[in-house]
Amino acid sequence: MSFLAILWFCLVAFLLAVFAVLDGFDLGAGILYGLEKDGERKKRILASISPVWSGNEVWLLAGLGSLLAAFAPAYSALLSSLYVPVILVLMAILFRAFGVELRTKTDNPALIRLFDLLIFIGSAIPAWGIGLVAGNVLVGFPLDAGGAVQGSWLFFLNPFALGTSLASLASFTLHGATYVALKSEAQDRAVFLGRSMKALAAFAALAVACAVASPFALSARFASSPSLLGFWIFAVLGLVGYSGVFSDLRAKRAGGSFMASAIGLLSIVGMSASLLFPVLIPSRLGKENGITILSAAASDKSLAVMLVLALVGVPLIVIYTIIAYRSFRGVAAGRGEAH
Amino acid sequence: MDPVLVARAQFGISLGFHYLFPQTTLGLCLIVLLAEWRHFLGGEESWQRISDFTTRILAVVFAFGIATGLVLPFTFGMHWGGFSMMASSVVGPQLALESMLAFALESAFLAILAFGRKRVSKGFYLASAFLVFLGSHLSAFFIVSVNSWMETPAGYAIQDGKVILTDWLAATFNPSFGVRFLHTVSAAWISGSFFFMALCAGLLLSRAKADAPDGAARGATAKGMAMAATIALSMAILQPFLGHAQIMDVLRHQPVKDAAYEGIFRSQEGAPLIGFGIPDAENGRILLPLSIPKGLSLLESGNPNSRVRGLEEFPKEDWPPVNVIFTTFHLMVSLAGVCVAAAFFAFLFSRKGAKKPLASRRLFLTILIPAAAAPYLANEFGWIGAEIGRQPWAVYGLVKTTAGVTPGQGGGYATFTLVAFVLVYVLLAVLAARFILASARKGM
Repeated sequence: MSFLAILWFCLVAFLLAVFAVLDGFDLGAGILYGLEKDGERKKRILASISPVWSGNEVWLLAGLGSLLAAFAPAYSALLSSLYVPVILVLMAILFRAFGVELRTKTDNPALIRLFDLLIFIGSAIPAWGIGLVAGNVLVGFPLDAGGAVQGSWLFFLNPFALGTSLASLASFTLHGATYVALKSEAQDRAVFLGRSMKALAAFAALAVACAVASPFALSARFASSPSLLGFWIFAVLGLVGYSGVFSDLRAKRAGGSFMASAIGLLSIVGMSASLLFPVLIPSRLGKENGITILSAAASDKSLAVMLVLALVGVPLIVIYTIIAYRSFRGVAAGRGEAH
Repeated sequence: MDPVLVARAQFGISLGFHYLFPQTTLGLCLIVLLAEWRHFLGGEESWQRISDFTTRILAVVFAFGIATGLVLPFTFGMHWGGFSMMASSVVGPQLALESMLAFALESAFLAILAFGRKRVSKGFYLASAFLVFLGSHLSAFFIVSVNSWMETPAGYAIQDGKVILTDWLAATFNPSFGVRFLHTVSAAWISGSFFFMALCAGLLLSRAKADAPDGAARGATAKGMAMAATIALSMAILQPFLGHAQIMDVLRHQPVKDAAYEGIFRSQEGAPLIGFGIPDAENGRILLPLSIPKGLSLLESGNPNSRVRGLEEFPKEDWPPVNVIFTTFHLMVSLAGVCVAAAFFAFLFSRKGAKKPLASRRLFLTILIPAAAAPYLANEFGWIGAEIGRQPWAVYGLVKTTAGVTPGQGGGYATFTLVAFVLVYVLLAVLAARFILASARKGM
């Protein structure tokens, strides 16, 4: 296992973590949008994510592209074994794109209801599905020695992954609620801070459940991971993050709670990556069937060439992202803004 | 179902549907940039009307493009495991770079174009229009580069049965890339311009009929039409030359594909250029050919009596499906002729100093709307010909298509999702059409 391969593992984890933080809030905002009854508030939630949702998805593509480039067998096993949930998430993301783009462009009540539904399920299914995928990766796939899935194709519906899927749904909802609060005027802000608190309570309960289950469900990970120190560092950081969310919500600080929630999400990705390392896709049917950094990494020569490209590319998306957010900083207005 | 069939159907349908959107985006970005440039230089207010109108349409087309495009890299993992494992070190970086350099740029600055007219300065707004143009074309750059690499792989070595990227520049600028990129972008500008002209034609027709005629809006619409017609005509004239250059690349690198394109079964001196006909690969002939004697020899070498290699020189198992690619290739060429003719009249009727005002050419405007389908069909056919023409290879000479798929991914759920995707695409196509029209109807 070369240094370059380890670096790429970190890079993929980093890109996916940024994806979770950025797309996480617009998925969460989409869920709140679906649950919101007040028409004016709905418009403002939508206005707060309209300019940024597509830019946030870039990070998913960059992360997946990097996974494909550096660890193709893991990419292939991930997407082909989890075929059905991945298709569901993809379809949902398609629906969300149409819902968000088209909702403000019609006055037809039936279409508005349709787009509202598309935005809601298009946000809730990815928020849930990302946790399901992550939970399954942590538990491991039933891969045989040839790398094929053994048994039912419904293997992904296992209790631990269902738990993480709900926790992820709650964590993105919380993240979105703090973002919407941050982008709201004072009156709405109090409402969304209140909803953030409810989402935090739900998330805390689910996170505790997952944590209690993990020594059993993930015993193989804890037994074999050489980076348990990293895991505990991220775990403490995550605890600090979500305690920060709690205290900021109590103090009615929207910005602080959003940042703290971002730290929480980054920590969860960090915990997962540390637990996995040096495996990418573990197998439930024996450690030796898992796909590891060593077995999946592209050649050092390829990794080196690609690293140079990534060192150009990643800072550029950071710059674009900053410019886009600076242009739209402040409170989101209603639908009148788009011409 | 056969995993190879499911994988090909899934990818072909998804990419064929996706392709409609980015080609429109490329053309519309150019129109926004040119209009915004004229507006910035102190041009009349009508340029801003054109820019705002086009941006509004562009935002919808772009969103559909993202959503339909997002499916494709996932497909590599879900259905094309063999291809992914073999070619990931070239395909992966290009896809990641596309999202980092191109897609991120385009989406960040398109948000500024769509929402930020009042939030940013005039200069920054123009710069955003330029960056959106750059982003969308960079995106085309990377995708066409990967596609060209699959036709003419370069910059790699084989190690342990896997392709490893050794020279990124050589892989990116592989032998068929340059010409293919120009050919594709020029084709996209034609599509975007025709799309824009069709919307303008619809506006001019409806305004003349019922709505209160708004002089300024109508003036801007006619002006936009003139600009789009200029782009469409100049690119449609350039396109045969780029197409010829690409055919020469095919001849150099994939002679069997070229013979199938041209429908030449027997090697011969003074080969004819077949303009149309019904291919019959089974019996090695073209029925009812309409051809120019010695035309192909002349085109390929400049010498009307030069020798052209026919399909008979290649083993039959290396032949691509001749009937399909002969037909799609010739349909593409015929539709290109329709584009040249339509663009010519659009240019003639919309230019400054035209005898009659454009809005009164009702028959022409009515024809121009369905004519917008021509460049799209031409591009789809051209793409189908290029991809089917590469068969039986996924990466020419390196990875067979049958070896590229994920083994066993043909279960009932795969067929089911294929059908689901087709249904979703139909729904989306209806929604896209409806909303683009609704957005256009608001006028300039």
